Amino acid sequence: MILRSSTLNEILHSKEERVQRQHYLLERFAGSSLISLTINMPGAIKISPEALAIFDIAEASIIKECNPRYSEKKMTCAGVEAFFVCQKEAVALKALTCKIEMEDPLGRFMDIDVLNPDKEVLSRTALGFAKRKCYICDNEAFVCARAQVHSLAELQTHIIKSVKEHALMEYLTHLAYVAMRKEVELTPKPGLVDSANSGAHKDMNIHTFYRSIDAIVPFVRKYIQGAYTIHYQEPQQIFQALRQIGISCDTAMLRASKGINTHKGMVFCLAVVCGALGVMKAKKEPFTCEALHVNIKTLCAHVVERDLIAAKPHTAGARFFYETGSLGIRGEAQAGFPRLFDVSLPFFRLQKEQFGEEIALKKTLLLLMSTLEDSTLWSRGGIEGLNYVKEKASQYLFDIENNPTILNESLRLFDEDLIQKNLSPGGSADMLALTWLVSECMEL
Amino acid sequence: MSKILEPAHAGTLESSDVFVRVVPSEHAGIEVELESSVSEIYGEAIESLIKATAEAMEANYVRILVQDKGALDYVIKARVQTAILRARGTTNPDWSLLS
Repeated sequence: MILRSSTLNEILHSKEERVQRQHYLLERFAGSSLISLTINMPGAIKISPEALAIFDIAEASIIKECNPRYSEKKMTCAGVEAFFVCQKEAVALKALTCKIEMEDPLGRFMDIDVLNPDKEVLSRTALGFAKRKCYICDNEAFVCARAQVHSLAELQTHIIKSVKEHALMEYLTHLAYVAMRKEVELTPKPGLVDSANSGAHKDMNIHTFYRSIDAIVPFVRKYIQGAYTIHYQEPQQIFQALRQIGISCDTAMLRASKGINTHKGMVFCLAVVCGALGVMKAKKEPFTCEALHVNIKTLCAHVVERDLIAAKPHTAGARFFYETGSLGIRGEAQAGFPRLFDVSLPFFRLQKEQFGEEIALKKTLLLLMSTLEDSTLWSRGGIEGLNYVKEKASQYLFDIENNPTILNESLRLFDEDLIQKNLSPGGSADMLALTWLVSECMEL
Repeated sequence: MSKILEPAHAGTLESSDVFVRVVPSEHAGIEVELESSVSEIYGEAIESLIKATAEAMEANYVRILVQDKGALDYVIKARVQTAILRARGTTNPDWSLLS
């Protein structure tokens, strides 16, 4: 049935059968409410790859939000459909499903009806929700559909584009997830949590990081979507919107890690990088290093002045600034992460080509440690600790260049050393994950 | 002109569809009651389409109750025809009247 044209007869017949099935289920599960899910596909082809992609997302959301006691799905000539029998009250279900329709980026293509135990279809307007808008313009959907204002080709192109955009955003979100996983799993790492030990940390291990990563991922999606949606606004407004998402992300992270700061710097970096990617996608800019660099700079213009000079937040990064004058991660972001684009990324790519990803990641970490003004090192070891790590990392990297076989042993020794000195280069770890992420994105 | 024998219905209340009920009436002619999501703009056009469709099938002594959810003309026509055929219990319709 996929990509097959249905006739009018078939479509009308399937729709009547669908309603019969709804009524049958409401009789079989007397007293329950029913959710009926279909996908709005104009034209004779009712089941396309796009329709199936949207359907899967809708189905997952409904199961998550509405907790059905029974469900079934079927492909018919009128499209792919699913029924969910729920114990919740129909009005409450309608509110939940309207939320899915309105908030999911592909929600506009979902048609989620709710029937009460008396087989009545609840309407959006009765609940105070607005009538649905057209796919393309700002008119009410009924009006445009009835008048056939938009050509079928235009509607279909719009659907395909929306699904592809959504898929790209999901893919970017997934890359951010993988970037964080790769960073924490890279072993051995000096002073940092890895799969062998907890580095110079007594309050967390790799599982703390896994939980933290899982908590952060949904917000990565929000960073990208949020910036994508408001890309036309002033950069400062976009930055503020990203910061609001970031604050919720921080809270979720702390809840998942039971109050331990696992990824605070990373949450900030991801906001900036993913926000910039969202803006670029919306503006149809190609994913190049140059474009990303410029967009990050634009997004973070004046963040140092606004954050560190006007306000005085009580974070390690802020204290770092007052005491050493170094701008830390905010300075990096405001400059568009020059150390990432000019130093770690070219180095990582070259190393990856020559020695593969794992060796490249390890050496890039050392390179970052040797150059970065890492406030997490400073907060524990002061300026001496920071300088010690920079010099040591530089020395190890030099030795490894001369004799590649000592890479793992060097990292292990460096790890022991930093554990003993209670030093953890968290900022370098964040930049490493970011380097991997940007490297992957730039290949899209 | 043939009378409607029994109440019948066709269609659904889904968007872009129309739910048509036909019921026998004591009065001669065709009476249409329309409730439509697009009635402000298309109410009259839809009503005359329903009437014309029923007349072409020589329906009489009938009330047609229609809840329209933004269906296109060919959907409305098909649903009205089906509802009338079902009301008559016809399994072998005069196809020439259904064009």
